Amino acid sequence: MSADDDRSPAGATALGDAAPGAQRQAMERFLAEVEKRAFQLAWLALRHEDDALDAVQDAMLQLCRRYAERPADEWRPLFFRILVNKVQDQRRRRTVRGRWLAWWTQGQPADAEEAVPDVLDSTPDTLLEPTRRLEGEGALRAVAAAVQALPPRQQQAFLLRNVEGLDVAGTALAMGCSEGSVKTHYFRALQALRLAVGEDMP
Amino acid sequence: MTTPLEQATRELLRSRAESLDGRLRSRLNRARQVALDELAPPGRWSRTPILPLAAALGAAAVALLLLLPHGTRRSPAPVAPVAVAALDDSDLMGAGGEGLLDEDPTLFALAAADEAAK
Repeated sequence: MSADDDRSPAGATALGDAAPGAQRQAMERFLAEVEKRAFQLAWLALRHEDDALDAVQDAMLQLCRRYAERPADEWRPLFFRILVNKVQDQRRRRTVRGRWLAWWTQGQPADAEEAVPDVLDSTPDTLLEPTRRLEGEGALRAVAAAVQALPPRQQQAFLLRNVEGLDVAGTALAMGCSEGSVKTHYFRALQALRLAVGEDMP
Repeated sequence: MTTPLEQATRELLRSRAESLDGRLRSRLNRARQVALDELAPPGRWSRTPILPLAAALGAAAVALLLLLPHGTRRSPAPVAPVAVAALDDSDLMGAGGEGLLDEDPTLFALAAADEAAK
């Protein structure tokens, strides 16, 4: 299976009755293990560092506030469900902001149009730094670019199944859709990646 | 079965995620600690509704005291009723012996005449 995961979950037992210290340790292990890939997922979807960090932090907070008492093996799909929702919220907000900006700039004189800065374009993109360090690895850049170019739902399905290692049911829970939809999104994502980078990629 | 493409992309994207720079790692670490603080069990007293209830009652009592009109707080002291039955003849005479008889010469003359007739 493409989503086989060699990582064991942060804990497979219910921690609802465990001591608070043990619960905190288990949650910290889980979050530390998952946070960088979660950030990558959010960044690939949003292309904005602060927005991605906000989404990850909100997801962490909500998991700790509402779902810490749930069994630890449920944390991963729950966390990514929250994160996916946060990312979609950010996208919607950005769309609204973009429309408002477009409307605003249409109504301005030509010289004033340049005075309205594009917040997204002016934000430094520091996540590209690791990629620049790996300049020689063209494969990484090609893969990252191909994944970035995927439609949002295909991108989520691919990252959750392939990179995060969730099974079909867990991915469906995280994406808030049926298992059939997950399979379809994943299949189409793979097809698009094959077209973009080729099957024989190193 | 995992295809070579799936395997390669997984390894590449995982390594990419692990190679975040120190500043981002630090921000993620802070975000994690903030979230973990939400797990800290609240103190025993803060979980019970007693303290907020007591605070609300205390505030209401203070507000009531402040809002009450001053007249109701300073009501006049009740006047003790005079014990009429406790008066006797000596009260009519006064402390120095000068009572009603001293003030009414007619009454004094009548009393003196009665005394002489006897």
